[in-house]
Amino acid sequence: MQMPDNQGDVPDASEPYGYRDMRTTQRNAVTLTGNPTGQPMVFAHGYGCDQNMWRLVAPAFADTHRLVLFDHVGNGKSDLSAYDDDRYSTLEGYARDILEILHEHDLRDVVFVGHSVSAMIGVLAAIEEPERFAKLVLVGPSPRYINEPTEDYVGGFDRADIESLLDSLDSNYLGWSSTMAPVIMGNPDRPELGEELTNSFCRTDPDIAKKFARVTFLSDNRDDLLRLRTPALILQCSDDVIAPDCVGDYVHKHTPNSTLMRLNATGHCPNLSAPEETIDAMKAWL
Amino acid sequence: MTQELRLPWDEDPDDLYEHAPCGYLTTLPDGTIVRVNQTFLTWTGYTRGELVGHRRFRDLLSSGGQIYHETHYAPLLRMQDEVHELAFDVVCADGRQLPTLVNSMLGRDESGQPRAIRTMIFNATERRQYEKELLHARNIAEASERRVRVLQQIVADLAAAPTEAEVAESVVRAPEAAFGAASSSIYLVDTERDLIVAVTSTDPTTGNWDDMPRSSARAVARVAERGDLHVVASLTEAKQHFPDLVESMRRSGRNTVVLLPLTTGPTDEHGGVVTLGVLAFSFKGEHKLTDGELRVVRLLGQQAGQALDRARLYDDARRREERSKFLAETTGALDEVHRLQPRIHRLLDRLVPEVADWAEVRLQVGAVPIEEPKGTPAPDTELLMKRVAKVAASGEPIFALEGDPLDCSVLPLTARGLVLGTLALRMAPDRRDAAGERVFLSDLADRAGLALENARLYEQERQIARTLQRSLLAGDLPSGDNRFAVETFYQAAGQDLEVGGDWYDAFLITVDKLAVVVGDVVGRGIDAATTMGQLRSAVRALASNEDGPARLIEGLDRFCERVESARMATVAYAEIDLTTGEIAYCCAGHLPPLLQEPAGSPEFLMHARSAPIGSRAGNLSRTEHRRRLSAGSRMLLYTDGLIERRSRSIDKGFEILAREYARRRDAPLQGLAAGLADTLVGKDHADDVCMLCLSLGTEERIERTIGADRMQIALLRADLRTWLVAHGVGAECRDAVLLACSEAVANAIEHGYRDDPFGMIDVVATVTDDAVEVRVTDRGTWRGPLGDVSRGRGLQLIRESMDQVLFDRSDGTTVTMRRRRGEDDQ
Amino acid sequence: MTDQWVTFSRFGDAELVSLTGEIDLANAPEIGRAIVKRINQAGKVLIDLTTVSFLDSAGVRLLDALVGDLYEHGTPTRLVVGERGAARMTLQLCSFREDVLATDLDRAAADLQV
Repeated sequence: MQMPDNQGDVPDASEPYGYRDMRTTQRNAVTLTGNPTGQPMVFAHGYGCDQNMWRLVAPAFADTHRLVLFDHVGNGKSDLSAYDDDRYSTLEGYARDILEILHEHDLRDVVFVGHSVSAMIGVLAAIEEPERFAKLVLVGPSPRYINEPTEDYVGGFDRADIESLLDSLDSNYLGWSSTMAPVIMGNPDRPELGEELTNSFCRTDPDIAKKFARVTFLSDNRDDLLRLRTPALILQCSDDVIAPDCVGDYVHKHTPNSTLMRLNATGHCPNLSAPEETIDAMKAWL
Repeated sequence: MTQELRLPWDEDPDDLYEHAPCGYLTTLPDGTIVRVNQTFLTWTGYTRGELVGHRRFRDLLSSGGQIYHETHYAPLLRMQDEVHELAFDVVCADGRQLPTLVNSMLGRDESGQPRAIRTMIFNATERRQYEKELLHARNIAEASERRVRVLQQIVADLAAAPTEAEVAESVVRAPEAAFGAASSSIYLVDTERDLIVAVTSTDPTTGNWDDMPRSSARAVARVAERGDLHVVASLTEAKQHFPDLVESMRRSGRNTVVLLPLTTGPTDEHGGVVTLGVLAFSFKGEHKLTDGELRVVRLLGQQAGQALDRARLYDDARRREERSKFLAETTGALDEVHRLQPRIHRLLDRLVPEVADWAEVRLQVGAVPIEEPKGTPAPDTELLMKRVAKVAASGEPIFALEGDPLDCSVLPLTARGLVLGTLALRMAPDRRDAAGERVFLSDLADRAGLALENARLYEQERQIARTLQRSLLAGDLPSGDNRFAVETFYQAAGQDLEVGGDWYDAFLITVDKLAVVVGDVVGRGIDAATTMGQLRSAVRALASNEDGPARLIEGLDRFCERVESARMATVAYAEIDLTTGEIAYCCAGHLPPLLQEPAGSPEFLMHARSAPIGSRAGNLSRTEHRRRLSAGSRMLLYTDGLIERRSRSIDKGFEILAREYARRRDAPLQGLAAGLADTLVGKDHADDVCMLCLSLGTEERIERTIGADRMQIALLRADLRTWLVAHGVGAECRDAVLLACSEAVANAIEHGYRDDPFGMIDVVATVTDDAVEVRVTDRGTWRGPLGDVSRGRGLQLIRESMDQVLFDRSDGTTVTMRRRRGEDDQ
Repeated sequence: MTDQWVTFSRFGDAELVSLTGEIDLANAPEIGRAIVKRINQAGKVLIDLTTVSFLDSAGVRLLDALVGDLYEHGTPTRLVVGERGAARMTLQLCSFREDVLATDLDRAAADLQV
């Protein structure tokens, strides 16, 4: 895709396709690998992590697909300064980012693989521009994390649980807080707090992490499922507290043209805990 | 290489594992606990049996921790095989939460598959406590920063807040943003009424919203009086110092109330400080304000006070300006309408709802008392009547005071020292303070009184003028003489304009001499009407058989010496000798008469022109012009209202008049003038229109053309009747001819022109010594047999009433009817 | 407005319809409607035409219809037309039923009492 008026738009040997897009590439730390002529496969990481979480799954498709990985703004190597309270106050904002990535790289006939909250983000994007999407793989999707007793909906959490998560984030991000840094630095008793942190993957700006957590866990996209026209594969893990079985069933029941596959993998991240099973399931369906 | 120091006893590795200073957990990759040490069990209160093989590490975490575990811990561990210092709250057997820090390592087998997770758990109670303090410190730092930001924002807002209300709105939101207060309210000091009034609040359900006197014992009033910040830190303190706060604090669950006077004036000494209002804000639970916060609070009070002071001055100036603008506009608006009732409505429209939500004008003078209310709801009638009577009697206004049961101010409407009536108002909610608007209201009533009195006088005068004019123009005009016929028309100018000075007149000087006149007096109103009457009488008195028009106009010139208001009046005057058909006319500054002789085009009579009556600079040599008119001539006298329009030149007016007049040359005389007025002037006219049309002599042969409109049959009949009478045709024959002619025309309309509303019908009648012949011609297409039921009777009537009837259908249809004159003919 | 041509009053126990001026094609339908509206409940009807100065065939048509309807309903009716005049002339020329014509009001009213 030519962008003649973009001065930064020069061929770059480090990029497999010769172009470095100045907008989404930098904003979302987009990486393009795999087979340049293959069908595009876009991997979207879920809440709490970054594109690294696909490292055990994505390579399996490198021969057949053009692999597109990226970080949501606020996560991983994304451009923190691009974070906009208003834009990212709903999942639609994140969905727009995905569509912009597709536009900038002229990606069509896309297989979209979304984990956790990104499964729903992908659904929103596919509703908005169905012509760009061929298939969706939804890994541990949930349209609503909070229980709605009056509607007989079990999402797995209460509002208080989400508040507890935010506390938990506070505890864990304490040392990362940019606003707190000067205070900590001035404290000779805790010199180690100023050092590089060991948990180097999945770095997240703490303020954004809290906001993203709110958007993720307080969204309600149940009504959007019905509007999806793209074929979708639902990968449901065993014993997933974030997206329990009943949520997977709900998504399957309310999504037209969807396939539900149960994995033996436990927990919320089969792409890490059971990459082979995940890959097999995806290949079988694709 | 240093040598390891030998311990004095043998370290048992199992004991070291079990009683290490940290918890150990070994779990399967899915988190299922397979081994746990005693330290962890001791800390958490679980038994080994409860955990091993039954629980996963995840299960021991708080719900938020579980999510964090799934979204952060587990993926991280898989990716980097170890995680460090993650904070989790472990839920103990008794439900207590144990703050911990967790390090985990993922062990893999030879093939690289995850085999087990080893987790070390540190009791982080102390550290987490410390971190909480850090967090707290951060929050304080952030709060301080936020306070400064809020204050900056408020100072910026205040600078842009031009009114008290906007200042109050800006300030009232500050305590929540800056100090985390639960709610806050603003009270303003009203020095004029010596009150303190609550104006706005973020939560109106708290606190006492009644107005209070400045001397009140209530906390707000006391603080306003002292002019210094007061913090009521607890219910106990409130009980001691401000019992009035206790109840509302209890009710709304507040334990700390801050009362901040909003002050202006020098800040260092208390003497010069003026309190303009009080900001009260409160906290749920007892809230200790730090010195830093108190400094900011005081600063807020000063900033808000200054802004209030500025807003008040600004409000004052603006209100003064608004009032004078309103008064000026009201006076202007009232001047635009002249009549009384519209002026009263104008006044009420100005007042309601802008100034008052209810207002009423009562006028006691004049034949019928006027009572015009506007707005809702109406106040108590009995109370109102009492107050109105009092004000009408004393001529002094009574203003509604605080708590007035009537809630209405009543002001006298006076003019020239006389009380005409009263103006009662209940002020609009935003200007309730009638007492504060005394000057404004009095000024308003003064202007209204004068305006209404003027309207009343105008109304009176207008009424008299109209009556006078109507009585003058209604005088009997000569008729019944078959040698002439006179048609007159008068149309007053558009509504609300004063009566004009146009007039017409026709009278017989002798049995054989007819005088016709149309004139126009300068000006409008009662003076013009009176002068018109005087001139009209003067013309009648001056007209004589011998003198002629020129002498008569000279007489009018002399008349002006005594009746100044007649000066510059214009007159067109003509005398007609009914035996010879000779006309003598004279135009004194008036528009030329328009003559239409039976043969030829219309002609303006341009001779014998001179200056208006009594003109000082104009040509006063009065001459007259004589000419003989053939029988059937029509002469039109008119005033300028007929042809003068702002949108066209007077030449154009003459041209149109001549054209329209010619077009109607064959139209019946009756309705001719009205038709002209309709075409030339229309209904919306700015001037009076006055016309007199004289039809002279008897035509031997009458030719009329009428439109295919059943309404016109009666007009034609009237003309024909006059003509038949003039020729001495007897009643029986006349009735028969009229009937036959009407039926023939009706046939033409209903049959010939059934599809053509614009068709024209020609009627020609001739009279000889022994017969009357009428010919009715249309150019329409008759369809079907003539003998249909309804029209059949018409044809039958024609045949029965006439002696000879002839139909010619060669070009349209011509019915020729003839009847012999009877014995009763003259 | 038809007030200038037709007015209503009582004459004895009869409804009196007084017509005046010129009745022709232009106003007859309107006058007819005004009369019908007024007399549809009347027991007896007198129609006074003595001051009618002109009556054309449309007027005759109107009277014909009125009288016809009233007789059909058994309502005694008289037209008062005077000895001479335009109305009598027109009615006579049309050979209007002589039995409903009367020359003055009293006589007409007396007719209806029988």
